Amino acid sequence: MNHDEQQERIDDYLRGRLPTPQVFERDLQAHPQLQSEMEATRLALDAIDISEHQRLKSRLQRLEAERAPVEGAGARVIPIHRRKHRRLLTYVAATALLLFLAGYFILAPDGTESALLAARTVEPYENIAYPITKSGEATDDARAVAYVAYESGDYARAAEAFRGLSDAEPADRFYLAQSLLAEGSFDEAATHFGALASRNDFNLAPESAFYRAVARLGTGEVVDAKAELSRIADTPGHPFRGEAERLLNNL
Amino acid sequence: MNTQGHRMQTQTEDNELFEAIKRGQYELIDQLYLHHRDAFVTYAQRQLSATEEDAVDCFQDSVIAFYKNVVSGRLTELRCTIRTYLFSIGKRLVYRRNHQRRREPPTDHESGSNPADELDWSLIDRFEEQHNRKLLQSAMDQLGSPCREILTLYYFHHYPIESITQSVGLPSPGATRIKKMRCLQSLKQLVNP
Repeated sequence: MNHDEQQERIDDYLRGRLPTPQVFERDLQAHPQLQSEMEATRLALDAIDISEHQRLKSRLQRLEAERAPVEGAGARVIPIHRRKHRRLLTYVAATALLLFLAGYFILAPDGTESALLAARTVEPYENIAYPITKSGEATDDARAVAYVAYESGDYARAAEAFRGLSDAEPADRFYLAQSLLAEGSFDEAATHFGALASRNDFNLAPESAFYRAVARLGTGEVVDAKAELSRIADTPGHPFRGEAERLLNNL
Repeated sequence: MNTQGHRMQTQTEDNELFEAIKRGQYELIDQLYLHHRDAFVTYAQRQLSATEEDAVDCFQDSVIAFYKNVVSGRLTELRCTIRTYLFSIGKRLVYRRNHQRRREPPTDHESGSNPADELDWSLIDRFEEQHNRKLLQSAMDQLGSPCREILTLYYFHHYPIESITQSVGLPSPGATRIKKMRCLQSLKQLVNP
C-alpha cells in the first residue's frame, strides 16, 4: 500500500467510512508507522477544526458587534423590581395614553375583529422549560406528554395534559396558558397569564404580561390590551418590546 | 395567519434552512444566530444565571456546533425545531461555563432525554481544549492558499471534491484529490514537526 492509499484509509477511518474499522484498529496496533501517521492526521484535522471554528466565531462576533449599537441596553435583562420604581413622567404618559386610547375606542368603530386577528398572529412561546426528543416513543410521564403535544402543535391535547398535572409548576401553567391561547380560549388564557405576570418569583413573568395582553385582544378587551402593549413597548429591555410594537402597529 | 399556521411555517422554514445548511451554505449561520440570539440570551440570563457575555459566547459556539453536526452527517434529520437544538447545545455550554466559574445553576432541566444527546460532543470538547491550540492555529496560518481552502472545504465543511475543484479553480477532481493529499501532508509536517 503506497502512502496516498494509506492516507485515504486513515481519512476514511477518522470520518467513520471504513466498513471494517476493527481491521484498521488491529493494523494500528501492529504498525507503529501507521499509528504515527494516524496521530499526525488527527492533529492536522484538529488544526483545521480549530482554525475554521475561529473564523466562523469571528464572523458571529462581528455580527454581534454590528447589532450592539442598535440593540444596546435593550438586550439587557431588567430586574423585575425596577418596574415598581418608574418615574412619575412615565405614569403621566401612560395615563394620558390610556385616556387617549379609551376615548379613541369609545368614538371609533369597533376594533374587536382586527384585535382578534392580531391576537391570532402571535406565535406560541417556544418550549424552553422541558427538553424532549421526538422519537415517537410512548411515554408514561404526564409532563413529557404535555410538552410533546405542545411542541407538535396539538394544543388541545397539550392543554388537557397540562391541566392533569397534579404538581404543576409555574412554567407548566405558562404553557397551559399558551395552549389555551393557541386554541382560542382567550378568557381562561388571560386569567392564567395574569396570575403568572404578577409573580415576582417567575422568570417568565414579563412574557406572561405580554401574552395576557394578547389574550385580552382575543376577548375583545382592546383598550386594556393596548395599554398593556404600550407599557411593554415603552419598557427598555422587555423581551417582547419589539413584538408589542409590531402588534400595536397592526391594530 | 393563526398560531397553528405559524407553527407549520416555522417547521417549513426550519426544514428549508436545514437542507440548505446540509448543502454547505455556511453563511446561513448568520441567519440562525440573529433569529435565535435574543431568545437564548434572555433565557440563559434568567434560567441559567449566565452573564450576557457568557450567554452570547456560548450561543455562538452552539450555532457553529449545530452547523458542524449537520454538514458532517451526524445530524441527518430534524427531530425538533432548530431552536430546540440550539438551546440544548447552548444550555450545556452555559452549564459548563458556570461550572468553570464555580457558579451553580439555579435549576437543572436536564432530566429526561435531550435533543443534544444525539450530537457529537467531541466537537464541543475540542473548542475548549487550550493545549496546543495556538500551535495548531498557527500551522493553518502558515499553510497558505489554496491548501487552506481545500482542506477546510473538504474536512470541515464536507464539500464534495467536485465542488472544491470549482471553488478553487483546479482543472479536474483528480487534480484536486492529489492537491488535497499534498496539502494534508504539508499540514501534518507543520503540526507534527
